[in-house]
Amino acid sequence: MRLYETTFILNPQTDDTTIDRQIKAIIGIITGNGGKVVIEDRIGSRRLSFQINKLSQGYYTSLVFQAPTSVLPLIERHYKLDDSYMRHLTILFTGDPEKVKEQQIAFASALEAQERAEPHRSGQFHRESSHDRGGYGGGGGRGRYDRDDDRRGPRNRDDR
Amino acid sequence: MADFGDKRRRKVCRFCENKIEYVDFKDERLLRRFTTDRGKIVPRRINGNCALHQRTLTEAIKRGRHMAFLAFASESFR
Repeated sequence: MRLYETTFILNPQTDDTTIDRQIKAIIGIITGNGGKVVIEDRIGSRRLSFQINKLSQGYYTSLVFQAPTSVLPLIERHYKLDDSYMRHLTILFTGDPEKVKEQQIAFASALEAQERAEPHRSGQFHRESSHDRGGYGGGGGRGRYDRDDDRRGPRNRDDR
Repeated sequence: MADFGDKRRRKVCRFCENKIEYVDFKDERLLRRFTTDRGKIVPRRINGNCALHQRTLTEAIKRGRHMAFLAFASESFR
């Protein structure tokens, strides 16, 4: 059996008992099919980076569990049937469940210490190209590698 | 090669330095360090990550975006 991690966002506007029931439902599916929950992390309500279903808050829960593969489609099905799971993600958990938390904390403080010592290596990159206006590609061209420039005549008739 | 002094020292992968092998997509603060203020993933040539860690990091950032920990594109740009 492998370790998986499933994270989901619940609608925070529902009452606490409903949220609790929905978390328990997922745990129930895991344990009811020969699995075992290793870490139950109720991250709680937090701001979403962008709106989902016109909501800007979400109740996050993350479960690390060990279960046979057959459990995964059952969980997936459950997520899809209930609209109050705003987002969900099930992945293979590759970390060490016992060490992950402390490693994270250690790394965060190490990074901070480094940045204080060497500000030029800071992880913040404020300068982006001045040509960047947030689009999706395009721009540029008219260079050496701009094919069919004089080979095929005008690109479209409206040009002229 | 010209002498660039301290300015052009080799960058070392910060994940390797700290012996991190698992990058959590829920660790928003960490992921923020490796994205621009517009939300783009910082390239390897700038942040100095090794190929392996850049790959794990990229995966984590993309997962983080799906779960709304990070923005796909930042609207507010000053």
